[in-house]
Amino acid sequence: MDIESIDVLKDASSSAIYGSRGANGVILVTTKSGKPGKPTLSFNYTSSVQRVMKKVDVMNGPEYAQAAIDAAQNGWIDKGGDPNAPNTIEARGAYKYTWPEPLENPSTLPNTDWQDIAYRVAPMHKADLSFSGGDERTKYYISAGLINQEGIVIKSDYQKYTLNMKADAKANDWLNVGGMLNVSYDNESEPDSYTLTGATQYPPVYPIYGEDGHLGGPENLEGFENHYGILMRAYHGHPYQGLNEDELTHRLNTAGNLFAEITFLPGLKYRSSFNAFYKRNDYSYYSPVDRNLAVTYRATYESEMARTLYYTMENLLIFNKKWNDHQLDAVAGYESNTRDFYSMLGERRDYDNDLTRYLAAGSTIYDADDDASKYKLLSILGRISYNYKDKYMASATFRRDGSSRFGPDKKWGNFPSLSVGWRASEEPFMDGVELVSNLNLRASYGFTGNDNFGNYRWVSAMSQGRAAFGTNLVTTYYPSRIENPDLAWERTRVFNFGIDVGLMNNRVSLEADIYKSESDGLLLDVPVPSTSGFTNVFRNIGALQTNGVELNVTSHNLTGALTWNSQVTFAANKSKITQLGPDNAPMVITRTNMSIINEIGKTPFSFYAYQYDGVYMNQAEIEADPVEYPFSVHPGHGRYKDVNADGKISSADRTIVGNAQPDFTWAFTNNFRFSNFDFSFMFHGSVGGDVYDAVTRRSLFYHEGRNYLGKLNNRWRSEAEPGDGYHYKLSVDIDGLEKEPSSYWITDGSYARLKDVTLGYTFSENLTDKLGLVGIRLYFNGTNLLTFQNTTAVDPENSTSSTDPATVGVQFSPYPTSKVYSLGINVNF
Amino acid sequence: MNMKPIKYFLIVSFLFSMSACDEDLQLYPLNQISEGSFYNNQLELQQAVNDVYRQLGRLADARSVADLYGELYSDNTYIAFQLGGTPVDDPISRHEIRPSNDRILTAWNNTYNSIYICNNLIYQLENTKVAIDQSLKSRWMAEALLVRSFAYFNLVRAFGDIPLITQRISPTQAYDYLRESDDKVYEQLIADLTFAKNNLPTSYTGKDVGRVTKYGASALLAKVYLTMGNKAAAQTELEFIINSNQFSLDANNDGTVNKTDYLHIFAPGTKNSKSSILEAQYLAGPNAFNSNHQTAYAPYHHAFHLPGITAVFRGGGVNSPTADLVAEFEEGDPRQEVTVYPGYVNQGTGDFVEYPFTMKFFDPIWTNPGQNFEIIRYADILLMYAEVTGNAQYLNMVRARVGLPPFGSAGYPSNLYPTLDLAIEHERRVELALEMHRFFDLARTGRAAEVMQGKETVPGFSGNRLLFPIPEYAIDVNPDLTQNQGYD
Repeated sequence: MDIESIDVLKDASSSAIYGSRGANGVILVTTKSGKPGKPTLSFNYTSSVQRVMKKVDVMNGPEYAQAAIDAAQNGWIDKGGDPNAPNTIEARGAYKYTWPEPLENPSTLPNTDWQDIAYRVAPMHKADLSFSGGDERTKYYISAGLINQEGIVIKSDYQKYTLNMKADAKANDWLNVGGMLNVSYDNESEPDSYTLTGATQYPPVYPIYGEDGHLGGPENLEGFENHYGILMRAYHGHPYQGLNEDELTHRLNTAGNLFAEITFLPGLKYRSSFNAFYKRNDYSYYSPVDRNLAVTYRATYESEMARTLYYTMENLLIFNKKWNDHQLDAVAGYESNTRDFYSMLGERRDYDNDLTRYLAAGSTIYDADDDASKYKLLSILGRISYNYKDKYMASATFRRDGSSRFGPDKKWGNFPSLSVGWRASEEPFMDGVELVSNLNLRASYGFTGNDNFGNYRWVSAMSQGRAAFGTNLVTTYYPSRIENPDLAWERTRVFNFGIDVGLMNNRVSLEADIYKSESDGLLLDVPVPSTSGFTNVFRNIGALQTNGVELNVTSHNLTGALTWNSQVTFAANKSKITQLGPDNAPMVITRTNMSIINEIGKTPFSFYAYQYDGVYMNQAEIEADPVEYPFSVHPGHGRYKDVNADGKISSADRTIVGNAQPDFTWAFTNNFRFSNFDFSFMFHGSVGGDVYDAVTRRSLFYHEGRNYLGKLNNRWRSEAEPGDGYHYKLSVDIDGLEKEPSSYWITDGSYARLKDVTLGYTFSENLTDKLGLVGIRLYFNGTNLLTFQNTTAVDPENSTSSTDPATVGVQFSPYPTSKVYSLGINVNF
Repeated sequence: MNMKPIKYFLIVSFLFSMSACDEDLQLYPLNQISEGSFYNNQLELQQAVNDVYRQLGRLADARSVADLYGELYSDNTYIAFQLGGTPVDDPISRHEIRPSNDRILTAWNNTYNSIYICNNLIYQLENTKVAIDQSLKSRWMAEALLVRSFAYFNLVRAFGDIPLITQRISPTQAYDYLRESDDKVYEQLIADLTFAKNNLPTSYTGKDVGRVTKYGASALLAKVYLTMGNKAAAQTELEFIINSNQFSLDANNDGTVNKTDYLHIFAPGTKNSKSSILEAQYLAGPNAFNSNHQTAYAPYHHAFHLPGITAVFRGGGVNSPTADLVAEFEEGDPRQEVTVYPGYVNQGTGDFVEYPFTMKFFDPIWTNPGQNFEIIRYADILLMYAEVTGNAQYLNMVRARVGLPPFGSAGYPSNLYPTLDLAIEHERRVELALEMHRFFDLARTGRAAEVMQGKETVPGFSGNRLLFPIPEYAIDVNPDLTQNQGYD
């Protein structure tokens, strides 16, 4: 680890100097430097074992067989078919209303747990070595590291190599120079995406290998001949089908920094620094001819190279003056950021075999394309702070940022902030209060800005198309994006009030903050009437208000031979939309089969759907319900709430059924130390956010005989087997509101997790001295060992894989979260 | 050594760098043109005009409004099987559409996008400073107006009253465009198509063959009049086309009219034949302008392969021909074999798979097909003419081409189709099956509810769903839009 310290700056005043890059708070990471004195050599090694944290609860073979028969039979009956009609295509007209005969005797079929096939217990090794030292004038730090990790999903693995150097020197009494260079190279091999979905959705009744020696599936399983055309095949689900693929990424990241600091008057310094970051990504994907299936495929190979050069120039004048009890600090400067991106891709198809996995071997040139973009952010900044006796503190910051991403006249934004502090415990009247060792009151008010979206979003675009006249091909041009020159900064105004209290000589300390933030000019891809020719326009659309509180209590419970510290953190915030567009009309966005609504006074990106109300257990219940449905309803179907009470179910009955925002999050950390042992553990959790379980939805809707989640064993099957009253019956024909967004898919995302446990042993100095070492520590660490949760979605902590705010809280089939057990050693020479 | 000068040099350079330059921030896309920098000369305007033909292709492609309403909604086709996500095609086929249907939303959005592109082009042509010959400019306007008319004609027939936008508008203005009465839409169609007819040439030569002509505009106008019930006006347009002697049933232009002419229309590579009046142009091959008909209509089955081709591909599974359509063909009608193929052999097992599909869009370049699509062809003109005149002679020309006995003769199945109206309905169905006419025809003649009753694939169809629902999402975005009756 080359990190010296990590500081989180939350209030607007402390993050204001970071301008638009600090819109969501700032995490300051300071890397390690050398220290004057004897050179230090440090070595760390960790060996870990990773396994899947939690398997998804899916049906086993016999359960699945019954469910598959139920789905076909229910579809047939609801279509008006005779329940006793023979299970033949002649009698039932369509294969989907029939089922493969062997499903009736599931004991004769395999019962494969595909998650066991797709996942593995995987090792990981990490090692790093650092060397540092220096004298009063010069300091240096060098380190190298490597990670070698096998993934918990077959075919995934990762290696990373790093090299870091940092040095600084006092050249003379007025010049300080330094710099660093970090290089990392990594390789990643990704699993086939069908492996991730197939692990939970491929039916358990198929064997790993069929009798023909190829991968097992309906295509080589006796009795499935007539159905395999409509069933999920090995190609789409067997975890081994992608083994012969390659999906590789190589990344080279180089970050360099050079700075010079000139003291030209006492208390007045000039600092100039130049940072450059170069990233090169090589991505390739080879889809093979041979997938160990009876048929071969048209192989394709795609290769993409992307480079990004990001450089920053920063020039600051720094003034520090201290006289008597006064301290004055001031900074003024200028910063320029530039990002240059270029990528190029080529694709060929039609490979004769899988031996040569390069473009050269493909017989058809399919694609050659490139992409380029440039981004620039310029800033002028200034800050002045004053401190009297560490008792009264005040600072004012001003920053003006210009971003290339906004409209021609909207590039610049101003982000001022102010903060004041009062350390009351320094006042004479507090002298007598023994209990309170520290009392500090803080208040700040400031602005930050957001330009974190794609380049050129305000610019109109002409795209190229093609058309034909007879056999004559021509190029066409058409407008594909509309101009929005008014695109401007999204600004957030934060008021923060904080109090720090230390009790009993700081044995117990409390930090509390309440804040209120108001954002205006919210940037969103706003739906517009498609009659305009466009479905969305990226624009500043509204305002959002957030109120929050954060608490952090640290307590030194025991300080004797056994020390014990505890830390509790608690954070809660509530956001609501206060303004939306010119007329405050609600904004509905349909995504991922769950609609989202933004509405005045409501949490942003709330789930908007029909309100599910359990299962109609029998015909009598349907008849007793006065509500009219615009389609036919049968026993075992879902019941929905007539929200607007007009006696019928219609689009107007959609309502807000939840949101992903938790009521609060918390963490609880404990550290113990006794003799040479140290022990710590950390629980954290979240209460109240909702998760939309897109995985369950897939297993129900892709009714090509995919496996179902285990909870559907509690479904309605008949009046005699009504299930748990929540899960409606299965059917190959999804009908009515079952196919529309509803609260049926919303689950409670609350969870508590034992995130981290560490037990360490530090060897006694006697022993290390004999070995000629400075220190040795051995430790065991466990990550994600225990989770308590309500949702069937597999991991509520990682409930979204996208940065799109409209998909927050949506759980797809992510790469599974791992549980990690590690043993490590840390040696200092 | 005195380092002071260096020190001050560094400070001066710092002060220079403070001059933040606004021009540095004026960045524009590097690998794409912005709209403001286009339409500068005749070539660029021409390239923009060409795009309306890409739009014509989209409007006549699989899953367009014309396809969904004309075929999928009719008794010609059904969905044998499809998987994945929320079913969207099957409910259309079974007349159980929910307003949230995503397929209809996409078709609606795409159609209005095409309309926007036409409107924008008209705006650019009206305001251009480039000196262009007035007759060429009028022709370009006419090309755009014809394509826009085709879009609106499909919309008004499938959705009834619709937002009618005839100029380039901004997204903000779009909220004010609510549903106009269909009368007003038809009025606009007549005006636009009349302009198109007056300003388009009768034909093209060389690399321009395939652009829309005077007769294409006239044919569309005839259909508009027929749909409005104005048979006299329709007759005038149809006579304009028939009397031009530019077109004939002799599609392959070999001097004889027989069944090979019918087959020629659907042969791969046939472009702008003698029978074509208005035709969407596509081109096969990679990086060309491909059509989706063959891919979308092919069986949703992994063992599917086209006749004579061993490569398998799973199609979209829409518009599988119904048994009811097969039954409509008379004994020995050669049109049946290209309209409906009964199935294919599973090459893995050797079994024959009964899964009907159409060969009307057959293209052996199946990975990137590009068969043209005749939006209006001569047989359609003759059948419309028979309808407006009540003269069976024009119906019988179409029948004679495929060797079937004339209406009124002993061999004619008059027990099934006793009147000329029914005979024309029957003939239109078998002649034009899967060419996006069927449900438009039934709705136009007021026969839809009656004919659709009792069709196996359409349980409980009632006459209050002759129109598609306005997409729920369009109403969500603009709540001032109203819904069609029968949909909640």
